[in-house]
Amino acid sequence: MEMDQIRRITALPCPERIRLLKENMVSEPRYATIEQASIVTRSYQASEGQPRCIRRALALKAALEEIRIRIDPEERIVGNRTAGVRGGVVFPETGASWVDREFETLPTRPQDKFQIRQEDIDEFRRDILPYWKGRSLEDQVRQATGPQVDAIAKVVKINQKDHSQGHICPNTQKWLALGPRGILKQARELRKTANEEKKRNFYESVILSMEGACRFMERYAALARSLYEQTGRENLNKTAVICTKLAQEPPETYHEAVQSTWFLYVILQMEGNASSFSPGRMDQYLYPYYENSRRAGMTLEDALELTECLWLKFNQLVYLRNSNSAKYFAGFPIGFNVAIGGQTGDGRDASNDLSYLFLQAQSHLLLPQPNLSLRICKDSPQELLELASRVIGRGSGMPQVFNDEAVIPALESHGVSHADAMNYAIVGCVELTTHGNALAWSDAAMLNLLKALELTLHHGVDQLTGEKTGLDLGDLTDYATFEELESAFAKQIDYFSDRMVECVTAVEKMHEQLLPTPFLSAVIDDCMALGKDVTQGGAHYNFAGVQAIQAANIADSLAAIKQLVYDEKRIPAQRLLHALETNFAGDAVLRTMLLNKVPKYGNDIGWVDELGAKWVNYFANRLEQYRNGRGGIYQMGLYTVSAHVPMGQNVAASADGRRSQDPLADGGVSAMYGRDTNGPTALLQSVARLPFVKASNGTLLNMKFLPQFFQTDTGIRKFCNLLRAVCKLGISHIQFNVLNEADLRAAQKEPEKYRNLTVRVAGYTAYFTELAPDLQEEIIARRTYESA
Amino acid sequence: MNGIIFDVKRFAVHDGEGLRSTLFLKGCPLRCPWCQNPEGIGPAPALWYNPAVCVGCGGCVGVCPAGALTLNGRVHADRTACTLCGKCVDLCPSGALSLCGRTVSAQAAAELLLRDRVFFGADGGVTLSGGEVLLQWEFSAEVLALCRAAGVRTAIETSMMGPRAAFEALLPVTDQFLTDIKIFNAEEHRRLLGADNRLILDNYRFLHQQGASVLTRTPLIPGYTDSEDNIRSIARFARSVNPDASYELLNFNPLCRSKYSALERDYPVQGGALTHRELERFYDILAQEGIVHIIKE
Repeated sequence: MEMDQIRRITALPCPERIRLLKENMVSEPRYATIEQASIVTRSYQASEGQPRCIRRALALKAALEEIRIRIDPEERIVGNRTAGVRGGVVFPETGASWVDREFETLPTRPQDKFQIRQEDIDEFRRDILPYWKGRSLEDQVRQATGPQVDAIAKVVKINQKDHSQGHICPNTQKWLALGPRGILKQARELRKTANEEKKRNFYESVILSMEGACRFMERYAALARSLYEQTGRENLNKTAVICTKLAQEPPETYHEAVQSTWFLYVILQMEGNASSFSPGRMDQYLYPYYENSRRAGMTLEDALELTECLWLKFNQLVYLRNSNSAKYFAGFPIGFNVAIGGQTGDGRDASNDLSYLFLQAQSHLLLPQPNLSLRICKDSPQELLELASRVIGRGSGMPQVFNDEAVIPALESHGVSHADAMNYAIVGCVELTTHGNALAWSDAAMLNLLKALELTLHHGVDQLTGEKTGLDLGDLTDYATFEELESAFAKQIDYFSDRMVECVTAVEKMHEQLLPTPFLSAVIDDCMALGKDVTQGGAHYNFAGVQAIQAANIADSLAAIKQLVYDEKRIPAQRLLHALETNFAGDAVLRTMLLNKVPKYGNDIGWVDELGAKWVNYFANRLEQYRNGRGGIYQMGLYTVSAHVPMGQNVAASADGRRSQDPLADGGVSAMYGRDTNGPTALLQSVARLPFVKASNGTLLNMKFLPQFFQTDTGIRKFCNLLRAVCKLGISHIQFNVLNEADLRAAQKEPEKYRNLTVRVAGYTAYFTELAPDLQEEIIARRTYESA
Repeated sequence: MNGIIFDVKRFAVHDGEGLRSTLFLKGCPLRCPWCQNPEGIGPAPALWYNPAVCVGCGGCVGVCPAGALTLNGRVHADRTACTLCGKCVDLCPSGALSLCGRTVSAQAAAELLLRDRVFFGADGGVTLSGGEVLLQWEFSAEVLALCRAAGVRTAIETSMMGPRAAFEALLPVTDQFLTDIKIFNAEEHRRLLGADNRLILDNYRFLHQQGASVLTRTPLIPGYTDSEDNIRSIARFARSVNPDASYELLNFNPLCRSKYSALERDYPVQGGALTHRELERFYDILAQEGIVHIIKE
């Protein structure tokens, strides 16, 4: 791109309209709502006896026709699934029992709070809950496989038991090209020639869904028109015109395409209420519309304002999870993941005006959504990296960075075609996907390898409950060599993997029976061609993803046992076992030794890192032996989002010196907090030893930086050098937390967790936590000064 | 050949251009009262103790064959009795005791520095620092030559307090010299730093005569170097040697006080970093003296 154009884009201010809309949005309270639940329940009651996919389509159609809608007079992009913004949608098809149990606690629970209305609770218990008792996904899964899920729960967390599977990147390009009317026509044609009733039902369900979609757009057109008549505001008139058009025809302008895109995601959420539907490479497929409009005279200011209107919209849908799930996935993430940059199919730089406009929008709004992802490759333009670095330095944690050089080979080695791999996108937080043709079931389960190691060290007995939940293969004193311990550990992993796959298969089956998603299936290839819903395996790619938890703790624990117990024989196995069983009570010196006398993952110490690599590799290979319910393969991910905290609560003291129930390492491939003391380059060299080619489900690396680093042009250039090295090292993903004052205060309170936090100065580096309190204050003050 | 080093700092972002790895060499001929790396002044390895992480188990006292250690709230070491055998360091569960300084071959030092090669890019590289690089110039030249041979850019940070022969050896293998002129007044220099600065200024001229790439630096130390007169004189001198001189003022950083408390020594410098406004005043002085290339924070 031309430097002048980049300069023009990065000079654009945040539009006044956006400030107003943002203010309105964040000041509105967030409520749990049962409106859709009651529409859907009535629809189900009226459709007894019909095929499930038809019933679901009818329920969606009813919701699209009846749900209350609202337009803020300032809006230029409209649409929501609730009348209020950021509503927590009760979705009884997937889970009603947990809502019943937790409804009253929603305003006060520790994570992801929602306001409630007493009349909603009453109506829910009177009219909705009784119908779904025993019928919801949650209850059916419990009936089918509850005891099996519970039996392995401390080692394996099975997901999607009470909500839909999301983490899907639909074919937005197709949606834009055809519009709901075009897809409807296509479905009618295909229904004519369908040779099986099942297929005819599928097409019928698509037709019903698309009829609902058209009606939804028309309702917005009507509302906008009437508001225009009351207020005379031109943006409302334009909205009325655009919504009317989109109900009938595909979009042509940037404004129309953005509005159309947003309708798609609102309706997907109304149908699925899933943790994430991701737009993917929006800078690519919206570009032709942008170009069209620019040629017709759209200004850069206008393009940015429309983009930021959409950015605000991404924040108006949040996800209501049960309290346990909210701990694992805190911050009601709904994962509108937008990928920018990357390469074209033939390997050229794909960045364009929109890539830069999207970064500029992020830098103005600094909101949690969209989850903005930058794809980099060895030839990424320096200007793009520099702007991205500046936005990262503003501290919203975005854009996160994905590395084409690592991701594309990983996908290809798991059966993805070269063309689809080059066009990959990200869904949810960090999960990898192809564009528009996959149901990757990215969060099938998480397997806690550290818990499996605990069971292996102690006769299969859970050290927190005393129950025997794993295989009894002996204890540490029985394993004569480190290799014997490793072979027992492998058996334990196999044991839990087998059971996990049985549970996941049962859950998938329930989704197929209860939750066909015709609207979604219409925008996932090859469902329409095959006449098959995504839940039945209609997608071109059918993966299931399982996360290995957690490389750092496994590497550190095994390294400590190997070095101190087996190699140096400094600690008798019995002493270590006793210390772990008693959470180091009475043997603080042993814990100090575990922490300090053995090198840790994250410091560029080959043999330690290789232990982590070996076991995630082992697990990945094991996974690849199974097939999922839709006929696809399992693939491994290395990420936890916030699950390192609850997963840590399940594990007793470990040989890495971690105390009982303390969190595990965060992120996925990060070092245990505070233990990567050789600086960021050493951490990255360690991380690079993990088998990223095996981790095709996605990985997560968190790094922390002080804001000073981003405050000069030299700093920005150095940061870009770091990004380019990450690219060369073949690390799939990295995201950066830029610390603020609150973080530094936290480091003062809990120094052990922040031991790696360094303050870099000429000549040497100081560790923040080792500085005297007055010097720490100086750093904090300097930060405040420099940000002013 | 072998050298004695006391640290390798990876991801160094202030020791030259780009991202660098910096090797710290033991031993320094100067005695700057504000020294940021007091552990690097002595030429030989020494026992280093960090009371902040010590758990007070006392194991070290029992294991010391020389009886050099005592425990009294913290560990005290009789450095004259200590033979640097390392037994206490090996035993110490917390890492509070360590040996500062170790002997490595030039080959091993270069390998340490080159580990992060992937990060160096076009502008980064390796930097030798100290202590004073010139005290071990033969070793330094060998390390830098190895890095150069690997295609990596090289720099040294030096007080220039060393023999001409050192520069002759280093010039062919060094891409950039980061040279400190701390105090211009000869008498002041002798009084505060324990040595004459004539050699420093001569070497500075020599580097320019040889066409070396030189960045002139002065650390701004409150009460020591931060007088208008001092900065003006250095700037004037630098410009007289090279009208096109690049000059960087390093703001004072008080963080090293923690090291002094670990050594049970008082840190003589009062006060903190200079404010933005104070820095600006010095930048103005440099500009008045005709310095065109002022490297700012």
